[in-house]
Amino acid sequence: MSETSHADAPPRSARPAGDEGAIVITGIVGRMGKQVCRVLHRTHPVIGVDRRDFLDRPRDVVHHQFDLRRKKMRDVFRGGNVRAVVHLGIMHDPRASTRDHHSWNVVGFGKMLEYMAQYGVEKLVVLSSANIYGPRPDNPQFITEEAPLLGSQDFSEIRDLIEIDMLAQSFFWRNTKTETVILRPTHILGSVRNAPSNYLRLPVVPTLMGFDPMVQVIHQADVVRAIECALAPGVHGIFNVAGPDPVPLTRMIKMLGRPIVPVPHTLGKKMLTDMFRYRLSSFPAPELDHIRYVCMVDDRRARTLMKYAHRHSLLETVRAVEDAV
Amino acid sequence: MRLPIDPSIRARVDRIEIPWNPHGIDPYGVSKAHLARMYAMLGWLYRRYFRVDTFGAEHVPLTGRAMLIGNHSGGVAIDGAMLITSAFMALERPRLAQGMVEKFMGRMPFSSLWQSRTGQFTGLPETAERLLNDDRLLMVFPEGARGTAKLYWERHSLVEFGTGFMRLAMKTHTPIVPVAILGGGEALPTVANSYALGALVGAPYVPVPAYLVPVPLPAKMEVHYGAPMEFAGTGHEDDDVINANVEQVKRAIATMLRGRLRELGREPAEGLS
Repeated sequence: MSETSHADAPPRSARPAGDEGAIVITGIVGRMGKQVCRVLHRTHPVIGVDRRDFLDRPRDVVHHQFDLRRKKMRDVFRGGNVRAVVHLGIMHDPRASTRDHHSWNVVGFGKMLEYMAQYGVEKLVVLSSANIYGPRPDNPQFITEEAPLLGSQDFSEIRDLIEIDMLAQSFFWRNTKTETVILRPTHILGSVRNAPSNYLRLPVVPTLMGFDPMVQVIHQADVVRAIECALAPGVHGIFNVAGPDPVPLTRMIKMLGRPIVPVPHTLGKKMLTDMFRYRLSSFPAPELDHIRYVCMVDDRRARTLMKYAHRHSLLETVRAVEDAV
Repeated sequence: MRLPIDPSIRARVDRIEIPWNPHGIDPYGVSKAHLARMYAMLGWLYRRYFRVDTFGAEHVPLTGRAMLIGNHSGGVAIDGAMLITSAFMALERPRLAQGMVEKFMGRMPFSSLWQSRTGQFTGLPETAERLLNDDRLLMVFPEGARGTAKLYWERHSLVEFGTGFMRLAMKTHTPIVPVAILGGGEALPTVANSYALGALVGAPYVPVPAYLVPVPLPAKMEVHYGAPMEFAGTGHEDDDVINANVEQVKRAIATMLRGRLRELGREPAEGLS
């Protein structure tokens, strides 16, 4: 990434006093993006960026329907009087090519960081994930923010997700005038279409015979709450974010009353590899490690420094996967 | 089929001071139900099979953080299992001794599940430190796999101690209770270790006793707790300081072993100094 000083950049903090500026939400049309928008637009001007159309957009939200990688992105910052960016526009589609992933997640995000530095945006909140630590047999029971990001060792397809986190970290150190917050939430449950929610929605839930890891989950609304906390002035750094106390995976499935079928790992891996290849499943086989090994985080830093507190109980969080999809 | 569990064991599990959630599980994954099943099985081994005698139980703090530092012998960690049972059975208020197990165990089905439900986690400094900061009772065998690899005639010797436990104890201001365990080597009299078989099953080695099948014999075992030792410092001291402290703990264990072996009329091993 190039250096952050630009000849054509306007002076920083050019906003008049009392003008709090807008919050740009990338990926606003996604399920999480809409949730964040619904909360933030009540108190802040919101600008959305997403290549999808925002059909049920609140009237006061400005939406730019274009790709994050387009040069128009610069115009959002040039004319938008932007105070903060909440970056949710992260591609994690196991069917998309690695080239697409890299171009969207790394190149597009890198460009946006350049614009942010150029136009003196005060806050960046990146929704990373605790999955980048990777579920591993030799993980500590609770992983702290300083732990190495080993998630791609056995699942190389998530390399770019780690790269986003690293890019944001490097931005944090190089642009000290921007308060950068990297949130690493555990498995987000709710109406979102992510692997853990989809897994718990299966009519019959397979588990791995002889494994029942402790699992941490977080309600999507609690993630929104964490983003709100992250937007508070003065908050910066990397924060693990979790919801209620962890429980064994099978207990969580039982809360939903779903039947459980334990499968030996070798058989499960072979079946899932074939099913994914023939498009009968949306889960890549390496994701099996999430139901095999522990990947829990220590979120005490978020709870003390960011004043984050989850509001949804375990039952509410787990049952949220049954919310209208 | 469910194992019948003695109500007194359930009652003792209820007395273990751990922050259980409404499901009877602590944040680390330790489960009351699994503990009761584990202690029911180990309790039988402790009382009937190995007829374990515990001495000096009063030295183990009944609350707050502490470290049990013990010696290994016998091809598998029977001594570890009996130490866990001793901390449950022989203390005035039962405590869960939480061990640090070899990393390969976490990859194995069922073993990984049981070790996590019974509080025996993969040996990582981060986990150990967190457990101590949560005022748990940590059990460490600083000889590691080298200790269980001792052959029958080496069973009463001590091999090199790792130093990680000492740095951790100093950093977290944790008292160390030295523990001497006798009988592990008689229970599984290893005459050789098969490293090839070990590689096959993902373990460091497989112990081979004279009767070939590594099933423990009903040898009598003893657990001796020594007086707690405290070491001031930050844990960041030079190796010389740490090694000297480790040597003190090793010597305390060796003294207990030597004394007891002499009482029993057996000759202590040469390296037991």
